[in-house]
Parts: sequence; C-alpha cells; structure tokens
Amino acid sequence: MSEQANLDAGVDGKEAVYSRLGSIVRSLHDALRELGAEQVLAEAASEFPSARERLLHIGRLTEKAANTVLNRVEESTPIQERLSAEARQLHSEWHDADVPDALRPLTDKTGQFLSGVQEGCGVTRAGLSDMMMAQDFQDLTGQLIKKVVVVLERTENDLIKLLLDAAPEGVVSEVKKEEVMAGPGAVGGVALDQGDVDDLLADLGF
Amino acid sequence: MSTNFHFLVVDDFSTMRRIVINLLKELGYHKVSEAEDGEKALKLLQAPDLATPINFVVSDWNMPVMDGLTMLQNIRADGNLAKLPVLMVTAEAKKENIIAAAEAGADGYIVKPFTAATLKEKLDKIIEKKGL
Repeated sequence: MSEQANLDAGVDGKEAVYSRLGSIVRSLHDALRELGAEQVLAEAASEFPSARERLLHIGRLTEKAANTVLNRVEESTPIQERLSAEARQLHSEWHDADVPDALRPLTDKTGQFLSGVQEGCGVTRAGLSDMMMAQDFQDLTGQLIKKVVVVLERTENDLIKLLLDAAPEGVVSEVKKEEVMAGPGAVGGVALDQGDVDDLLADLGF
Repeated sequence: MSTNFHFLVVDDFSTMRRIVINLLKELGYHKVSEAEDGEKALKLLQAPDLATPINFVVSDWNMPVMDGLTMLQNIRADGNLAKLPVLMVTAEAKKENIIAAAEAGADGYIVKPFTAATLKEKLDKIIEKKGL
C-alpha cells in the first residue's frame, strides 16, 4: 500500500469515527430527552464548582497548617542551637575553673546538668528537623488536589457541553445563568461561548 | 568541602522550598535563593548583576509556566550555565521521567518524599564527582 493510500485510509477512518460518535451523541441526546435527565445532569454540574472549592479549601488549610509548623520550627531551631552552644561553653569554663573543694559537688552537678542540656537540645533539634520534613506531605497532597481539580473542571466542562447539547432553548439559558452566578473569575468557572458550542455541535455532526 | 555555594531552590510549592532551604542550612549551606518556576529560575541564573553567581540548582520537575526538565534543557543549552550542577528533587518517579532527566543532563535525582540524609548524600556525590 502506498503512503498516500495509507493517509487516505487514515482520514476515512477518522471520518468514520466522527460519524459514529455523532450518531452515539444523537442517540444519547434523544435518550436524555425521553428520560428527562437534563435536571439530574444540571444538578450534577452545579455540584462541581462546590466540590472544587471544597478541595481547594483543603489545600489552603493544609498549606496554612504546614506553614505554621515551619514558622515554629524556624523560630525554635536557632534557640535550641544557641542554648546548646552556651551550655557547652559554660561547661568548659566550669571544667577549667579553679574551684574550692567545698563547692566541688555543686560544680559537678552543674556540669552534669550542662551536659544534659546539650544532649536534650540535640534531641529537640533532631525532632524539629523531623517535624519540618513531615510537612512535605503538603507538597504531595497539594499536587494531588490540583490534579483532581483539573479533572473535575474537565468533567464539568464535558457535562455542561452535553447539557447544552441535550437541552431545549429555555434550559440552556438557565444553565448559563448558574455559570454566571459563580461570578466572573470564580475558581474553575467554566466559560463556554457560543462559538465553542457551535464548533462542538458542528464537530458532532449537528 | 566548600560551603560557599550559592544554591537556587526551584519549586512551585512554597512549603517545599522552605523545607529544602532549611535542610541546606542544616547542612551548612547558608546562601540560598529561590524561584517558583523554571522561567523565573532561568532569569535569576542569567542575571548579569547578581553579586554572587548561583553555582548549584535544586529543582522540582512539575511546575507551571516552565517545568524543571525544560529549565534543565535550557541550562545545558546556555554556554555560560552548561556546567552548572542541577539536582532534581521531584515526585515524578516514573522510569521515563528519570531517563529523560538523565538524558537532559541532570546531575542527580531525588524522589519525594525524601530524607535529609538522602539530600546530603546526593549533594556530596555531585560535589565530589564535579570536583567542586
């Protein structure tokens, strides 16, 4: 088979697929009318912006919580480091000091305490570091939420296109009104203009 | 080991940038800049007026505007930046991602979530390999 013939077959194949898709959509369109499913679809579509907003809200809340932890870690870490350094310094000063025998038990105890401070600061410092690392969940959950929001947006778009397609004149204006009520620039708002609708319908053979 | 590196941390999530910056500080690298996407990172890297030029990049992959892989390709294509060490830190853990990053000239690849020890190990390896 020549390359041109292959190409022709490809075009024919594509046209056949579009034609079949068109007829499926036409059947779906008729079925929707008969079943009176526009209302169900419209309700489903109207739930999407709210679902999206709730997901984004989760994203914002977890980001805020992660930032609170990071703020506290960044404040506390230098304090622990300074405490540890000062305890080490003081410990060595006591060690080198010429202490009268009467005071020896007290300075020994102080020395032990200062060692304990250094140890404790080290453990706290490591704990703070682990707390900081644990906040990386926000990056991973945030990315997932963003991806799900994109899927929701796409599905909502498809659903609204289907609704516009299946609905009689009056219902179309109602669907559009709901979209307008979401507010201009509302997160994930779906703006479908007449050109989009016409192009889509033309593609589907209407 | 030189701690006079000027790092650039590139990630669209501010939480992740903060974590990486804090980890770098823990490891003794205190000079760190940040950018939220590949395009902003390239602008910083190519800025002629930077007091101390950036000499180490730690970057996410999946970012808006310009992703980490495209940024890496741009770095390697730029004569002034071509040798810059670039460590990818990303949740993209598919085989093709890793191969693509390697082919584009990444110096290391860390999969999120990661530990401080992993970051240290990869940084040390790059520093040793590049003789920095």
